[in-house]
Amino acid sequence: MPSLELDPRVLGQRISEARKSRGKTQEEVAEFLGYSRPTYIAIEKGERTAKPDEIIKLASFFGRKVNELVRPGEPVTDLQPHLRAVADKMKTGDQFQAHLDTAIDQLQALAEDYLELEKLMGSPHRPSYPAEVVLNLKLDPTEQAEVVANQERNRLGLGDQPVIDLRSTLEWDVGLRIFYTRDLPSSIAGMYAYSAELGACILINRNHPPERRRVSMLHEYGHFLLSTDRYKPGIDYLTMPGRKPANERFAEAFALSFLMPATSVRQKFQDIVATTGDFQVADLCRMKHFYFVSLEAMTLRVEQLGLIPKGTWDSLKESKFAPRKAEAMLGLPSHPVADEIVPERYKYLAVHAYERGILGDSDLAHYLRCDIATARETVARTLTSREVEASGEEQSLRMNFDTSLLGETR
Amino acid sequence: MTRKRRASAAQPAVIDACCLIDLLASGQAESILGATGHAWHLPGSVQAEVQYVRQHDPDNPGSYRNVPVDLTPFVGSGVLTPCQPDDAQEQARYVHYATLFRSDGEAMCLALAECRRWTVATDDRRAILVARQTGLTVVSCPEMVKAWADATRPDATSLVQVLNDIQTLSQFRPNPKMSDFKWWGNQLGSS
Repeated sequence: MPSLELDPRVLGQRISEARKSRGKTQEEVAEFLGYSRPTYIAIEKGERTAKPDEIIKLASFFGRKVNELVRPGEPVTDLQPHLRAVADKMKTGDQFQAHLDTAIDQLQALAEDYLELEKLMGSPHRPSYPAEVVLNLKLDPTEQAEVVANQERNRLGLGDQPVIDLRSTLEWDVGLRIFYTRDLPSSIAGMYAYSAELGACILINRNHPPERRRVSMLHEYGHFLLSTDRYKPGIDYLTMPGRKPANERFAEAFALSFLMPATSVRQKFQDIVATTGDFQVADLCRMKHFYFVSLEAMTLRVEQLGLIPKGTWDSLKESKFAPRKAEAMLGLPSHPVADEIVPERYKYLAVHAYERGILGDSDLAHYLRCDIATARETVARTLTSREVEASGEEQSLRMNFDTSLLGETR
Repeated sequence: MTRKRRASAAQPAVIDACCLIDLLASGQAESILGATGHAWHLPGSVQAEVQYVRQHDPDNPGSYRNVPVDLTPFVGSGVLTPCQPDDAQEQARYVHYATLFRSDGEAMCLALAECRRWTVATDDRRAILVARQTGLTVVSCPEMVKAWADATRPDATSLVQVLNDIQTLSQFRPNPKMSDFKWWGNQLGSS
C-alpha cells in the first residue's frame, strides 16, 4: 500500500484550526478519538501524523470534508485567528457569534482557494495599492475623507462620474479580494482583514441591497487606506451607536464621497434646478439611481453639501416614502448587479483551470461555491461571447482561453 | 431475492456525483442504471453531495427549479447499494484521493473503485483522467444512456427528450474523448 504523502505539520495546523472553528477543546477531541490529551496534541503539533482512519473520523467530528484537512499547501495563518479574536471581543449572543464564525471560516476558505487558483494557473496577484493615509486628528476626518476619495478617484482614472461596476473596479484596478456571503448576521455590513500572503480581503453581507453593499465595500476600503487600520482586522456593523471614533467617521465619509463626488453632485443639482426651476423628490430619486446609492445616502449627501435643508431625510422617512416604488414609477432601469460569492478574477481563474483540465467538474463546483450544473453553466457563459454578424444576426462565439494572440515576432 | 441475484451476476460499479446528477436530470435514472448490466454502488460521500437536481418548472415553462434529491427509492429497490471505505487500505486511498480532489465524493468513489477493482461511472473530466491513469475501467453518461436506448428501444422523440434534459438540466455536454460521443450527437442531430 503506498504511504500517504502528508506533511504532518500542515495537517496538524489544519486539524487544529478545524477544532477551534468547531469550538472543541483538545480534551474533547482526544476523548472522542479515545486517546490521551498528549497523544492528540502531538497530532496537532505535527509530531505524530494522523492515520487515515483518524483523519476521516476527525473530519466527520468537525463537520468538515476530508479534503479540507488534507489539502496540500500551507494554510493561511493570519486571517481566521485574527478575525475570530475581533469577533470574540464583540460580546454578542451565541447565535450571532456562530454566524460570525461561519462567515470568518468562509472568508478563510475562499481566500485560500483564491491563492490556490493563482498558484495552479501561475497567475500571481499584482495589486495596485495606494499609499497609506495618516489621519490628522486635529482636522475633521470627514473632510480628509473627501480629499482622499477625490485622490483615489483620480489615481484610478475615474473622474467624478458614477462608478456602477464598483466591485470590479476595486478588484481589478486596486487588487482588493472581495467576497460575498449570506451568512453574516443582518446587523453586520462586512469585515476586513489583511494577510501578508493574500493582501486585503473583504467579506460583504450579500443579504443587503446592492446600494448598501457598495457603501460597505467602500467603508472597508476606507479602513484599508488608513495607516492605523490597514493591517488591523475589523468587523463593521451597519450603524454604530454613539459617537464614532475618527477612523470610523473617515471610512463612512470616504464611502459616500467616493460614490457621490461633491463636484459631480453639485453640478447635477444645479443643472436640474436651472432646467426645471425646482428640485423635487423625483429628482432626488433620479440622482440616487444615477449614483447607484440608497435614497438615504443620496439625501444625506445633498443635505451635507448644503443643497437642500437639513432634516429632509428624516421627513422622507417619516412619510414612509418607498424609493423602489418611486424608481419603478419613474421607469428607471435596474443596474447590473455583481452578487456572486466569488470575485470575477477568481471565477475566470477557476474556469480557465477547468478548461485546461486542471480542475474537474466537482472541483469547479467547489471553487465556485455552487452545484455542478451551475458550475458547468458558468463555464459556458464565461467562454461564450455574443457577437453580431454583418447580416445583423447574433452569433455565439466560443472562446478558447489558451489561444495566444501575440504574433510570432514582435 | 432479486437484489441478491443481480448483485452476484452483474459486474460491480461505483457512481460519482457528476454522473448521478446527469442521470437524474434524464428523468430515467433508475431505468438507465438498470439497463447497463452493472451492480451499482453509491459511496456515502457521493450521496451527501447529491442534494438537489434541476427540474423543469411546471409553473413557469422554459425555466427550472431545484428540487431535493431522494435516493431512498433507488437504495430500497436495490438499484444503488450504499458503500463506504471499510478497511485500512480503502481509508488510506480515500485520504490519498482527498488530497487530489476538492470533492470527497470523487475521492471516495475512486478509492473504492481502485481497491475493489470496480468499474467507475463518472462524467467529471479530471476524475476520468485520474481513473484511466490508475488503470480503472471508466464509463460515462453517453455510454450508459446508449446502453439504455439499445435495451429499451425508446422512440426517437423520447430519446431526444432524455438527451436534451441531461444537456439543459445538468448542463452536461459529452466530451469528444468519451465513448459514444458521436452517437449522442447523431441522436440530437437527427431529431
